[in-house]
Amino acid sequence: MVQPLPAMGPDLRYPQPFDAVVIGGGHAGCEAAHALARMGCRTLMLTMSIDTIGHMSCNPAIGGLAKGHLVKEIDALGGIMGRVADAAAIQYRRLNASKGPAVRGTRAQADMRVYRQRMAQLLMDTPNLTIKQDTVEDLLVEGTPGRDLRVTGVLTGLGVRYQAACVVVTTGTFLRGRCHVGLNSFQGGRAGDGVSMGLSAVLSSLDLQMGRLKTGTPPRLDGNTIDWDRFEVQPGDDPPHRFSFYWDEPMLPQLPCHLAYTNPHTHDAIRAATDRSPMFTGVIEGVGPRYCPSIEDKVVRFADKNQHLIFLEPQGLDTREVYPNGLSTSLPLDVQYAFLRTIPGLERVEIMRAGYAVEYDFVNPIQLSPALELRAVAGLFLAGQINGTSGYEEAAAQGLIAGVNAALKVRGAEPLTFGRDQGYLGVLVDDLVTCGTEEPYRMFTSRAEFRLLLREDNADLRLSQLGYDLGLLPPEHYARFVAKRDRIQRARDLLTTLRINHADPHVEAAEAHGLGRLRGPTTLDELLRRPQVSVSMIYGFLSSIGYGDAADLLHNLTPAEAEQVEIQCLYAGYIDRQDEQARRFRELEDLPIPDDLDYAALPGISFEARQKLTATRPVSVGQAQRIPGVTPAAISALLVHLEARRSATPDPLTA
Amino acid sequence: MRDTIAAIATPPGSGGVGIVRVSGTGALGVVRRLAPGLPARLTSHQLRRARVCDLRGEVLDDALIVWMQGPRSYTGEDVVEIQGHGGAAQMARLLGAVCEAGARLAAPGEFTQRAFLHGRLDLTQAEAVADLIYASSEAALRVARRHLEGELGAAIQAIQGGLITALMLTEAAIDFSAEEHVYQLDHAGLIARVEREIAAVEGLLGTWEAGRQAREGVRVVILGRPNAGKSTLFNLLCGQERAIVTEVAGTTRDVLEEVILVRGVAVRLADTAGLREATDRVERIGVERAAAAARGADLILWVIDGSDPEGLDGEVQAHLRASGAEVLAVVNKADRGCALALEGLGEQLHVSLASRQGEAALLDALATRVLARTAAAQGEGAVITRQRHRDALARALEAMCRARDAAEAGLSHEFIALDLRLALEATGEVVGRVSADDILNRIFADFCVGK
Repeated sequence: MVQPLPAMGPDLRYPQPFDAVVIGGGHAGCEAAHALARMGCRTLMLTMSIDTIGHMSCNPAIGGLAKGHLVKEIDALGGIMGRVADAAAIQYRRLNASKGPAVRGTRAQADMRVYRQRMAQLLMDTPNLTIKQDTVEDLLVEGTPGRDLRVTGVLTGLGVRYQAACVVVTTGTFLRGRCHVGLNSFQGGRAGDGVSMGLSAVLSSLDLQMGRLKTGTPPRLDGNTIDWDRFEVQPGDDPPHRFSFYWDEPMLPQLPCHLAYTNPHTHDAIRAATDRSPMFTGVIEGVGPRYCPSIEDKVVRFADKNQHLIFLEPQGLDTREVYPNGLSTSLPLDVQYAFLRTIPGLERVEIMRAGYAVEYDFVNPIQLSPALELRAVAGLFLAGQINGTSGYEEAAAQGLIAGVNAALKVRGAEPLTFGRDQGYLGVLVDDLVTCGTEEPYRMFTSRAEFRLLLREDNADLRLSQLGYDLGLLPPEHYARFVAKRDRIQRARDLLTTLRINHADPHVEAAEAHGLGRLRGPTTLDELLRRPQVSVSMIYGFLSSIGYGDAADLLHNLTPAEAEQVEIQCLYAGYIDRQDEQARRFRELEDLPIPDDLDYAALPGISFEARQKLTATRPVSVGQAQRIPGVTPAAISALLVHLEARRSATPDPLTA
Repeated sequence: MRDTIAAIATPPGSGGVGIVRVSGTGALGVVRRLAPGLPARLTSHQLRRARVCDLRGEVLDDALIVWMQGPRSYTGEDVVEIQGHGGAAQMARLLGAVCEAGARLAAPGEFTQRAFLHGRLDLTQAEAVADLIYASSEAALRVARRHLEGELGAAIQAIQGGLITALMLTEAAIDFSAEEHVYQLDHAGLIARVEREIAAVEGLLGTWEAGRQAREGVRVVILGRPNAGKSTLFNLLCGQERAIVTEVAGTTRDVLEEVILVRGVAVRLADTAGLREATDRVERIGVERAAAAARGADLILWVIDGSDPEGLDGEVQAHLRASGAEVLAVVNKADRGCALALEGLGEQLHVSLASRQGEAALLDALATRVLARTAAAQGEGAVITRQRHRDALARALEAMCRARDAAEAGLSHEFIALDLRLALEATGEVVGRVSADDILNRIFADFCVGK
């Protein structure tokens, strides 16, 4: 006989407290909820619609330059985006394939429906995770504002009170969301969905500094009305490079993309209608992303360009909908038809969903700690577009960081700060909480000063140990990681220490295997650095001269491991220099600033620096010096003060 | 909060108008105590006429008062200036009253220090203000003034501008290669850009010797055997245009240094102990010190006793060669006839220091050399004067050369970008840093990106 759980009373107070509530089921919410549950927290995900969990509101693709890095890092830590993207991928392309390993980026077109289904299914199969459909109207808090305010749970639209020690807010574009199609506008965080007004009001009442951003989407086209033969085909890579280090998801059938171009007629049609654009008429006040301008913006700002490239991307295997990447717009529907039909091959095109722009509120992220916890309210974490970012990958990365830190908080452990030298996750969070943002923030490789160290190919070597230590990465994956790491290390040791002398048979064998001349005793490392030499060539060479054991060590490497060995060897000089830079970077990074430091009492710093430091409350001197407006002089003053304070405080160990 | 400081801002002496400058959060309050007639509501940067009294009510002046609300002021703080009717005694009374009313007398350079801390001046400009205050010669003054005008800052910014463009092109080809217009990096064009900035940095580094000598003075060392006439030459030169009285003695009295002015350029003139095989310990120390002074010299005046058959001592010549400095041979005691074969010495001056024969030619020769050494710092163009500038630019140069080499070797963009970034950071140490956002801003402004 199973005992029923305690019943909910008429006051709708949910009887069992949760460790954490995640508000939202988008890319940030999914990672946060999964991380919390994996780390053993009783977790509740509240979403406006269970059917849109993991929905790709904008383009049907995951990854890209710098974004692929984020996905790989999430995967290396034990997150889920890479795995689900692999399950839903219908085309893979490695961007910047001709450039060095640090700036290559994996990108996949995804079947949007499959992505949603697999994400929802994965979450529903996650122990410790409860999913409910409801909206959040209020946050339950205790304590005194400005002193010890902390979150204790949420109140939902259905009137239910859920208790939780931590709440992760991942509401995307739904805070006071407003969609624009031409000069018509309507409430909504996404076309066809509602809006979160209650939560917006709650956050305002917390006296947070908010801002307003906008982002746009293109019209979705009916593929059956496109004359496909008129466009250049862009196939995917064969063989594809996939996201996950650990999950080998079955591959869906692969589809190509197509390339199209706008022309002067398209631009004329757009120019003729700028007076009906909410962008140019001032109806939209939010700031849009400069790297993702609307087509009307591109036509007006870059008037000298007579064509713009469009990627026609499939939205899935069993849908006719096509996403014309590069055509985001908020022009009226008639203008959308007019300019689309100027493009050869789109003369008869039908729009299935109109393009629109959405304006929404965001919280200035300098009010967050590097754990993505609001400094004003303990236990309240924010992740994703609410922090002013754009992109699924940026959102998922923050979701993971917020989820991990919420779980650590539940455990009573110290928060985890990702360093800028550890991963793009660290760069992302540090940029947000240190500098804030004035436009939707997107990751670029040029934001990472330790770019040569933070490659897609070594994301697991950088982060999987941490993922396992946190309890995110499953033990069987960790075992594979350790074996891989060790094989790479043994191969590296062999290459740097084994010296081949230039006895005649060795010289002949080296030439026969394409390694070039041996002029004296040479390490394998030196040979591998020669142009066009690969690990497998070294393996062939070693076998032929009777170094069987050493050859086996190389032979046992997987292709990914062999590539890793080659990269580490080829770029050793540059990698060493960046390691040295990172070491110097750590000196100020590891110098903490106490929570209670009173900047008003700090002598010798400018008004502006004082204001910025007070608003941002950096956790380390390293972070402090990255705050815009904080001068080197202010950092010197800060260092002097910290030193004086340190010597004035008796050491608790010796006192 | 910083306290309120005050000083007389106009040069000493009696002029038509003198200014007392007050800076700090309490500046306006202090002045209001002395000028109760000021209206309750003042507009920043607007002159007001008011009667100024001391705290006992005695009228000091009928002055013009201007309040400059921070941060739009020299120091970045609230600044009030009282423009009174000049005269040293009058200005001193005004300043005294201001201090009674709550301000503190400013330390030298304190206004500038505050301006720097508030970000109103860049580092080279702040250094220049210090140099202006402590400039010992016209040449130093000229260089300092030009720095204050931001000439060095402007030169560095021009170099940074070139580097930013090079980096922008490189980064755009990395981060936006998959975007709507596929940017290809033009390697040859990039190399040409980097080489242009390499040349500019080399040009600046080339001004270091002249800039340093103009700022700190040309180090002229008098060297020679005992009794060749070194001290006579030293005294003779010091007798000319004696400028700043800083007789710097060595820890033992073996190297004497004096700062003199030669045609407006400061010269740090050093007299040394005679060089010879020393037998006793004290003398040996003297010889070592003389050798050390020679190694630090810009110009050596080699004094030779022309009448001494052993005047061309091999040891002295060894010291001259080791110093690497420019050498001017001064053959003394010309009146006694020449006992030496002097053909191999190059340019030489024959003088008789005791009778001051040949003195004019000697002074001319010295002046020519001193002016030549500092000429680059006194002409047009930016000059670097400090070790700090030189170290940073040398590192920038190294990084730029590596970036160029990487581009020439056809390495992938990110390797070129790494060193361009390091070069930018190094130049940033001279004037101010450039952030990753600055690069992205340029990309967004210059390129149509985005899909």
